[in-house]
Amino acid sequence: MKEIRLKIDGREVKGKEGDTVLDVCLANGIEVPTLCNLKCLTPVGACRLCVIEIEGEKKLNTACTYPAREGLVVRTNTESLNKYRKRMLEFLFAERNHYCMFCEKSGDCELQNLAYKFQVYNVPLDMLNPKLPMDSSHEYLTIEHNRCVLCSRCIRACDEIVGLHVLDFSKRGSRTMVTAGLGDPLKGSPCIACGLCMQVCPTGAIFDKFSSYKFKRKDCEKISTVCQECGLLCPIDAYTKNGNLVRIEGSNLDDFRVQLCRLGRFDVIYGKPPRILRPMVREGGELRERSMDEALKLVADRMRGNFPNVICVASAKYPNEILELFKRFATDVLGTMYLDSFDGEWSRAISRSSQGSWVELGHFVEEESGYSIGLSKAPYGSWEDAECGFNDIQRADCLISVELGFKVQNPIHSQIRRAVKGGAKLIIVNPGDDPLGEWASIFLKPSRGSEAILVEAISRAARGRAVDLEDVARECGVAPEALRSAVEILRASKRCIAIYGAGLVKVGGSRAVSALFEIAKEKERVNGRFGIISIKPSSNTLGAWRLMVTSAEGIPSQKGKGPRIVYALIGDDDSIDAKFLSNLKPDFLVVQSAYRSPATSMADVVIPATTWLERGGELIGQDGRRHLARKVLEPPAGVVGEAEVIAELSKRMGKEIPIPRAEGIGVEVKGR
Amino acid sequence: MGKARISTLWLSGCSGCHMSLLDLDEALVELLSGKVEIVKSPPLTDVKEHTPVDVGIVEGAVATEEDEEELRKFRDNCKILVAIGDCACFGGITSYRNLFDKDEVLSRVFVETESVVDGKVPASRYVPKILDKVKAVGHIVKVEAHIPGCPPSPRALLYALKELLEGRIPILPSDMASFE
Repeated sequence: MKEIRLKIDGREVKGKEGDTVLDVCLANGIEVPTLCNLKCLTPVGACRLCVIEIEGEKKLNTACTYPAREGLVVRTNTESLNKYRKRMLEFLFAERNHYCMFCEKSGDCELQNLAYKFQVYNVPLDMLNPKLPMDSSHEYLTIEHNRCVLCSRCIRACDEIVGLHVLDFSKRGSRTMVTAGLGDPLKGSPCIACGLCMQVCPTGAIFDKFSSYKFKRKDCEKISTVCQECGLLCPIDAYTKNGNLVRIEGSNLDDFRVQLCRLGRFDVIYGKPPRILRPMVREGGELRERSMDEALKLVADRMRGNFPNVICVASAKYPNEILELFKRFATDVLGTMYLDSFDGEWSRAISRSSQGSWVELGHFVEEESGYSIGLSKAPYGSWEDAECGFNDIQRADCLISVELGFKVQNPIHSQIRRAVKGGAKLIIVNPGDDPLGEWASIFLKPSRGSEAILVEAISRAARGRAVDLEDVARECGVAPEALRSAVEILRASKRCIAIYGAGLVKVGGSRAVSALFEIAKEKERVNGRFGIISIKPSSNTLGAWRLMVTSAEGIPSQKGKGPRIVYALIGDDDSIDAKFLSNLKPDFLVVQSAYRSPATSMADVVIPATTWLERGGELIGQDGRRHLARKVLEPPAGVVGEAEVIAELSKRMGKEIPIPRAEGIGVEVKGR
Repeated sequence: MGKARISTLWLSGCSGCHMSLLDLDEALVELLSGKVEIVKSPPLTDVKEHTPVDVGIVEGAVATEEDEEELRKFRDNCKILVAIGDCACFGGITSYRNLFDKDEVLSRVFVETESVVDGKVPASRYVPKILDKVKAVGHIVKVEAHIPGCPPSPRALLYALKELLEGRIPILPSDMASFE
């Protein structure tokens, strides 16, 4: 980008072509007060606090919207400008009902801070004292219109980042209101409860019911980590006060994942089901609370002498350190061949579908952390290195979304919506309802179980192979015209990205995935990678695969001699299918879990476990990169960390294995 | 040099600002034993008439006809008027009733309150009438200095008094200001 030079407050400064004056000021450490500006949003000049004088211009301009250019002479900090700024603040205070002493934002409020800075100690204007409503219909959010300064940050965030545009202005002038939908209460609107509007609100106009009055930045400890509800691993700032979690915010405004989702922002603090706090042992058909010592003694007694028959299965939500320890326990202590993760079926199907195909990419992906995973070393192909990233969704002209399978709408849905707004065509294949349904050009709703057949047919037809679409449409229960249009869109597209969830893999296995991959191979590469994205089922699916905790062959269902013992490390993973465990035909089932679930009610021994907020470690996310998670909370009394439990169990089995020393030390990721 | 003569006025406020003045503690003793003379002040004196002073300090918002009349008389008798607290500076909590009509407020308080039986809105001429809207002191008379806070901290008040004794109109530094 071309460099430009301008003069701000008598200083020669440099900027880039395309910068606004405010950008140049901020880049050069020149402070300009703003209330509506946020670097991730389009500047609109709503608050008028960044007014500047530009030599040669008669009127004042807003720095956030004024394009910087070569030779510009700007003044940002004159007595007269500061007088205007103070007057603007007085207008804001006169316009609505701002009562700092009642406001939960007081102390963290950008309007209040500016009033201090400009010494707004009285308002010489008549106060309007309008009668304004307050919308607290929503499960988590309250909109308090009395404190709104109409900066439009929430509106722009909801539109530009979330892509939903639930919020907008209604009415005009001083009667302007932030409105959800067509004037609906927020609860009845299409709001997805991501909470981004609350995070960007400069005043107390949008707040969260749980953290209100509890949360003041200066009273809280901030821990920057990643959310582990899914493999997106959104960077978050977790705020705790006296050891309690009070608020979660997206930590990087430049990252589309700042949006977070309902699960990561609210559900983790609004409460989960009651925890398992004491070990339980099945006695006479009933689970009874027992001490950790008794529970571990029983487990060790049953495992001892039965080593080859012990099956160890872990949730791929666990960080690498714990998975590695679990693997060592299985291989070094127990000496069992049977080790797998709950994501095994998925990982193996994807791996098979990609065998051989990825190699044509011909290069290794260097990661930011400085290590690389050589494709040649990977016995089954490192599929994740060939996939494009979520940021690349904006580059596509066509998107196929196949059963993403998320519980709630999250930043991925937003990325897709934004691409559609930018002109991309969206084809959805989903036997159920799809949250992006109304954004689709074509929504194909095949009968359940036939989605793989449909995807394979679309793939062949899109690549010009002869397919009887009428026949396929009949078989899958979709409209033939819709199917034909989908194929046409795909044929016409140059850069297509297919995004598929675990549902497709479950039904169609590697063949369905290969079908999508074949389309991607014929289209342009996106950022040097194939236009395909798999939604990994867990937050550390890739870690479990690379550490070879996920088995390449799976666990044979054939029973050997002697009783079969299954050790399931579930933690706080609520996606575990109890059927998976019953299919292993355990004679003795040990479940380590944070919550009661169908899996724990099958168990012979239940050991308490941590949740993701209570453990640190390294995870390999959707993007194939390492992310460091930090421990945010101490586990509740009675809950012992997984590492300690595994180490203690090893000791009782007669072997000691070292516990990873501290969070974030990380383990060497070797293997696949 | 003689002592600076100071009066204080308590309009529609909770007395919190006066309490904050008393919270000056030993600084108050120091001021009173040398530099300052309190002429009229609700917590200390029972003087009805206004007498000329150097500095008038006013707490509370203007909510009733009596408040307005008192304030005007007070203003006429002081060289410098200082508004202290959010009620005097902005209207504060007292002005929260501005979100409702006057009649609504009177009826809610004197008639509809759950614990009231056969309530009536007071009509006696000895009870001051409330104004349509609560106003800040600066909306009625000229004010030389504003010290906001709910209440302002003793530190902020001491700063203001010291500035006044030095012959300057106090402008509270940003780091001493608090609207809570």
